[in-house]
Amino acid sequence: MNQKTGWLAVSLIVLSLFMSGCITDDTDENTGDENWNLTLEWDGNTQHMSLSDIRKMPSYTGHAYLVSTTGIRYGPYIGTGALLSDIIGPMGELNETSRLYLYGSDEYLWVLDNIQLKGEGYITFDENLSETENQIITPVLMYELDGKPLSEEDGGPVRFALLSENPGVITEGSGWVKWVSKLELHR
Amino acid sequence: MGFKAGVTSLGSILCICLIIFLFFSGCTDEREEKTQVRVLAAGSLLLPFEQIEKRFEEKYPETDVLVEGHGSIQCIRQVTDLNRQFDIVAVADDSLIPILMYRPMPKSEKNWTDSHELFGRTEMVLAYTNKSAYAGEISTENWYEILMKPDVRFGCANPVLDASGYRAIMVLALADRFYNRTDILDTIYTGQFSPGIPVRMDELVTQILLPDVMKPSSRKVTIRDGSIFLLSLLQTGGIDYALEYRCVAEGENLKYISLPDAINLGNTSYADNYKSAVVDLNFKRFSTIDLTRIGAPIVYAVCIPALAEHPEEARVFIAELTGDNSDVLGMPYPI
Repeated sequence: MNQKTGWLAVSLIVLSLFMSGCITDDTDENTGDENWNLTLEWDGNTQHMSLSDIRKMPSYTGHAYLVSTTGIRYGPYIGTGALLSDIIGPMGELNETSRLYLYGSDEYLWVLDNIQLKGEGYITFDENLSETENQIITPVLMYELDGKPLSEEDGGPVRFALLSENPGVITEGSGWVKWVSKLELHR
Repeated sequence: MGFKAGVTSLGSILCICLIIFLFFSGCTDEREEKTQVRVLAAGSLLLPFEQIEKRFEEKYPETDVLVEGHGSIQCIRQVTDLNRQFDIVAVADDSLIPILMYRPMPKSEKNWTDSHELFGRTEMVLAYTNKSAYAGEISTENWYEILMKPDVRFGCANPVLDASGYRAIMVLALADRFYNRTDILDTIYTGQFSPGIPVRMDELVTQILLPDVMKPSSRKVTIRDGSIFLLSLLQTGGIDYALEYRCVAEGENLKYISLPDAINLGNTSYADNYKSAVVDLNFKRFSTIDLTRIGAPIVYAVCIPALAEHPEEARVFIAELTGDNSDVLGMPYPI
């Protein structure tokens, strides 16, 4: 009887916690990420990379903080990803007319010029959205946010991101392509 | 484990569980108890909608209006491409709703929406501050001559991201025709890129072919993702003038120069004239939207998506938009 009552009590407590709705589903692990791959296209060549391939590349961790076109700030976070320069390395030397087209699986497209591919020429802001200069920005394909795999809602498994060496540096969010699926080099 | 059995202790345990349940139930957001009316709004509507939201919630305390801002095309994409559920979509270009939402939803015969309502209009103006170069001289008559001066810095939004960006270019193209010149658009905008932005001009149409990256080669022109950043630059003296919506300039208490009706995209009787300004985006930022933007009067429109959770409340909110909003700062003019 004692044991039965004990189990009943434990069950009721578990049930009440469950019903309270306060237990959040914090599992950020992406399912199906193993099926994701990135297509690289340049000069008639095509190459595919898996998430595992990207994770094996040297990683960069920095401050991730962006602002939407309407002034809404997202962050600050700590982001980790593979350097864009490493990923496009096999595409060969860039020249003045090089453009990288970044496609998201939602049909979104953004274009970077050769200066931006080197991490230069980005507009940066401070926390008050006043423009700042001379910030070191590193373009990456980000797969982790605050130490967790990037959730689908945040653009995972892989999102283009502009990471900063310094905290509090905000970049324009229009180029942070979510659900990156293809990189295409135009010369 | 030392559990003490008995009816009394079981009762106590049940009471404790009930207390725990009630305690944790308190974690649920108070908002969930109200009817949430989820609104997507173009960036230029955020300031007036903030005021209308407050008024609406006071009038209907059982509702909670949640406004989310994006560029107009992005607003629509939240519903059609990203499958997010909203009750209202309000955009700064009425042509976008038929193009992007009068289309069937996937695996359905129903459209994303079948109707929309026009609720406001505005026009392009030249915003500036007392600190702007030649602020004491500029007028409706000489504005383009001031903008063409080498030491004057001009700003507008990125035409790829913001409708006010391609509308600013249209204004400059229309100005060339209106003032019978050929150098206004080139000196102020297209000639400030390297290589220069190609412009095709014939008797009927001026067509501007934008590059895939909008990066000026001089400090004469500044392009930013959205109006909010341009306004910030104006206030801090980073630029002298910006082509903006009149309702935005008024909402921010900026000084502005009104432009002639023939070029300000604000007068429907000049609709045919506005068509002579055409901006071609060089790449399809979204596969769903056409590359060519044709000059037209600026009209705000609103619709209720087919999958809206609270269409009745949405209708009441839309009635609020079309009612008397003369006291709402930054609200587009009624139709």
